[in-house]
Amino acid sequence: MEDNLLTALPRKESGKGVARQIRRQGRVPGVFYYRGDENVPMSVSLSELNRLLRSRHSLIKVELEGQEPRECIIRELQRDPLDDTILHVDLMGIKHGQKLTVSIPVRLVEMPVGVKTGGGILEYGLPELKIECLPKDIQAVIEVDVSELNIGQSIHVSDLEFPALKFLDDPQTAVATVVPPTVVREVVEEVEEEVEAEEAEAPEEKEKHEKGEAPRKGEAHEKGGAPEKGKGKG
Amino acid sequence: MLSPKRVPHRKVQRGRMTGKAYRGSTVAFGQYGLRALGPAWITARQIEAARIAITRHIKRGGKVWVRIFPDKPVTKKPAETRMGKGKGNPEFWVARVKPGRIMFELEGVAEPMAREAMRLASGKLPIPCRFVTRSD
Repeated sequence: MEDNLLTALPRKESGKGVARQIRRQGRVPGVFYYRGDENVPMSVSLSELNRLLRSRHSLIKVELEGQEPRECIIRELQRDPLDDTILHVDLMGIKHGQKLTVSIPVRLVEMPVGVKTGGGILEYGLPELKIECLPKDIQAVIEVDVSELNIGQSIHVSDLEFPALKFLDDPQTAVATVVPPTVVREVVEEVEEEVEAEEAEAPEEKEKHEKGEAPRKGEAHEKGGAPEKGKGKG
Repeated sequence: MLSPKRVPHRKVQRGRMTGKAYRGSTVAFGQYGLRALGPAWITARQIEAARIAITRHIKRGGKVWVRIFPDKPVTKKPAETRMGKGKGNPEFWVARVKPGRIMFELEGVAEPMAREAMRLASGKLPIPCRFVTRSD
């Protein structure tokens, strides 16, 4: 059995009830599509899909029941926001020699000089890069070496050197930046000052609020405190 | 504390919170995140307390992102007031948080420190939370 082969079973019904039933059986509902052909609703085994994802194959072969294996890519994965289980998979059939537009995640490798020596912070710019390339050149992740970045320096899309890939994002967009570290003390002082200032302003705010403005901090103390006697009774 | 500068309506209805947060449920800016495991209204005070807990723990270096914003006004009637006579006054602001939402993100610190900072932050919040890391 080939390493990147995925066996899919066609499914006739659709809808959330059917999808949940499929998921209970340890399978993942999905769809296979190819330009010009009709969409094929199908389901694949969750364990097989996980194995493929771990192996980081960019091109996979899907074998629909009774058909020849077809090359495809995983176009989209829907995951559960709580436990990250796969809810749905989109497989897109590909044709050799035809360029594709896909989004590929970026991974920053090596520790930048600015982080090692200057205590800077490495920031991700774009989490994914939109590229155009031939199916054979698709990668699971784009690894960007950031080891030479110093504080205040960035790597832009235009700096990336991957001859087989054409980047469709704005060339001036930063992929990774090393920013100077923040100092926490200043932030804490500012917050405390703000609180004091607001407490002093509280009576004015109450007047403003009665005129129809949005609520502010400090009002809860005033209003929730001593109730006005005689008002609201009778 | 966080609050909107301008709002279309001073008072809004409570609404319902069903389902999971399909948006804002992945770590997008930093390396580590704090994921909500239950639904809740998180007040501006709670957000601020959690943020301060994180920044004080990491001391220097590191960057914090707050991914939720309290844009919903909550009203309260004064104490010992009879029913009726209209809706109460706006008292504080809350962010509507559904399960799965990444509330805080952190970058530029080692994982054990990030984990501890997020644990301290989750102690300031009214819901169970989980520490998550960015997945490639």
